[in-house]
Amino acid sequence: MTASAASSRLQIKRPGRARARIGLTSLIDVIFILLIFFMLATRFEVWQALDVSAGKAGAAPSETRPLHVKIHPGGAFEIDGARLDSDAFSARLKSEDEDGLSPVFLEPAGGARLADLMYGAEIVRGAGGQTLSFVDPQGQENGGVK
Amino acid sequence: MKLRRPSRFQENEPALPLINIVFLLLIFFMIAGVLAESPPFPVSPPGFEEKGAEGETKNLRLYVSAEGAFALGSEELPRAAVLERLEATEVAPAPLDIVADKEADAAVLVTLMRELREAGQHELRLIVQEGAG
Repeated sequence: MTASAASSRLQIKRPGRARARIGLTSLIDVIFILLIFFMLATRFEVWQALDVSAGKAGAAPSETRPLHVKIHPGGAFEIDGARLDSDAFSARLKSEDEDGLSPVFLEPAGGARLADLMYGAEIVRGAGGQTLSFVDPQGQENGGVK
Repeated sequence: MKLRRPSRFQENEPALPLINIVFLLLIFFMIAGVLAESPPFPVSPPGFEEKGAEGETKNLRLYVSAEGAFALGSEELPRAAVLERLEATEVAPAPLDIVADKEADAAVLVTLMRELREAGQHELRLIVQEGAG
């Protein structure tokens, strides 16, 4: 088709350049909306699961006396009424280690956050192979980190 | 030596570099993040040094906020209703993932674990974030 024929017959039907520009804008719009959606809906933290199921009902009770640790807010640990900081607590666990592994019961005191409890659990796991259980203030064992 | 500038391109399409960058950002967010079910309140699980099991599963999730609000899936429920619902729906054979905020009261959570077990939920998993808390 020659240029003269196009100008005499088809010019009205061809919006040409203007139309191409609109197509690009709507593409950008959609991409922007998708981008904002993914920015809001995605999470970058890596979540992992710890098995905190309670011990089996038929499990044999440990022969050694459990070490009962009360966890206070802010990384303070109480064993038999004595307050320990995290280093002293870790050292105490390691000394216990030598005369047999006694299970450790972690009991959150009033005001203790979950982060405090997990910090205590981390120290116990780092100190040796003690069995770890969470205990609520009523004194019932509720399973620990496996 | 004189480099030729792609001047025509820039004059005609100043939006092209913008689209390129937005596209890159879009692809980054699609690949790097996890599209996840969102609880009705913000929850930030505690950190834990040790590696745990895979946390991105289809298990039913119980969310606990820092203020002590509960949600099962994306539905906010009072505490008693959570236990009732779990007892009624018999999800017991499947594990239940507890996603609790690191500022949530630890005693409340430990008591909740006991109540969940009494309600027949024997397999409990606590969600933590990778890395030291």
